[in-house]
Amino acid sequence: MSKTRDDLERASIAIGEWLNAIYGDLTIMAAACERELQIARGAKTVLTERNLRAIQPAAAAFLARHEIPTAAGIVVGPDILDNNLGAVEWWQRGDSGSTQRIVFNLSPEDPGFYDFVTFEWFAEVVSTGKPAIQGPYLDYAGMDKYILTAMVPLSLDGVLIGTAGCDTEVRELERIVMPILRTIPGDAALVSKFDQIILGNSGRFHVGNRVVSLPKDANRIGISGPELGLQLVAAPRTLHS
Amino acid sequence: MGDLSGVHSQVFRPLPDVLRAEAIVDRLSTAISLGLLRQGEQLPVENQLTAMFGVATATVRDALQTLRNQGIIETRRGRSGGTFIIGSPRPNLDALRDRLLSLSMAELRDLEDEQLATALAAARLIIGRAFPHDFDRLERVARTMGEATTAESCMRADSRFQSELAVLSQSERLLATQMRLLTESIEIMWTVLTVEADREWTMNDHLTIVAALRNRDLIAVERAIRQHISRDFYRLIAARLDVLYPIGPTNE
Repeated sequence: MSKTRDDLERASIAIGEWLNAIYGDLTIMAAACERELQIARGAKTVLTERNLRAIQPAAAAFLARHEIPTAAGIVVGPDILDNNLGAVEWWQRGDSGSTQRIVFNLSPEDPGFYDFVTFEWFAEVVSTGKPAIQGPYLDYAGMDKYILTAMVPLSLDGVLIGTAGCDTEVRELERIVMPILRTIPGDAALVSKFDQIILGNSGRFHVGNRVVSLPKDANRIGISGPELGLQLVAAPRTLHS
Repeated sequence: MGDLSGVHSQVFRPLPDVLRAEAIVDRLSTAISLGLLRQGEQLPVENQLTAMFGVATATVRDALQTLRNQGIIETRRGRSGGTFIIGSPRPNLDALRDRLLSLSMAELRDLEDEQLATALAAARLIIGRAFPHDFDRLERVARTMGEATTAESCMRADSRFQSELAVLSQSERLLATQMRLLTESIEIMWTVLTVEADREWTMNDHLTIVAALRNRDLIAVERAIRQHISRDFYRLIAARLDVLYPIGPTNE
């Protein structure tokens, strides 16, 4: 029993270390973006959508430091820019160190309208001013992939204007998280604060499912690192037969 | 559409010819393994294949030459000439294993989702449409698994049962979806499942599904289908994880 607890503890710390590195660098990226936005805005008082292109080097630097996330950038809320729609300045990793800009349709009349203000990664970060994580979810009309989105607050001159963060494909996350989960004896999973399974170490805990019931002898432990409400759950292995 | 964003430029990247020829070989081999194309059956002529696959003539020729070298097809000259299926492909175990390893947990779950959705939809239609003699037929198909002696014949029996479910739904679209799913997954499944360990429960699961369908008991049908498919995928996931992320002896 306490051996399981120790294994969980170790796994929690290992995952927490990776998250700390990601969120730490996202905070650094957000600060770099702020500086680049200030320079791009120059003497004008209002930020234009066009100004946001200036953050590309900051996004590219983040993607160069971390191999698992697939895209990074910033999202600026409506009422901040000249266009009343807000903006998503998002850069995806391309071949051999390049980055490619992803186009989002932010006007409600567009068929592929990307209504970002209702996303947890936006609404929560903007209302609490704290980092958040969302997913796994299918980012339709966005990355069009099954991803997790990690976000931190983005400020300009002391005012919260949106979020800065990165997307990670669930399939890529496996490379970091699975080796750690496989050190836990029995069935174990990394779950979100809503108990949605991010990844499990066997066919018992399926990606995306909610954990609906756990046996009495199950263990739960919070992930150390940034406060995102992530947890590890573990239960004695039940063989599917 | 001049300026394609990142994702889209990836999607529309041209496929190299060699990959297209391989894809044709894979498609035809799998279809022959599953019995969709039968021994003795004649393939469409070269320029028909070119049009159907939407590739260059040279690509079709390369693919056919590969199949000819493997002894799967034969081209005869003369009045009753043409290209015919004469052999079964040996399952390429290495390729199948690579395909399993390349599927992530999320993709495996998604494949399971689609199989489950398709089987459940077919079952609902069957309950409303099938007659007692249809269930007799389905039961006969399910029992052929009992005589299978190799993983390959188990695979064929399993595939027959699953396609028969779609057939009895009387939906051409569901059948097409089912065939695509089988093409994608059933060979992989039977590289993991074995005759000794898995033939029996697979057949029993199938018979449970038939019995529940016969009773037109939707809840029992759903339970049986769900249990069967989730068991299949549990095994698939375990096999993949054991190779990619083996657990040390201290942890088992």
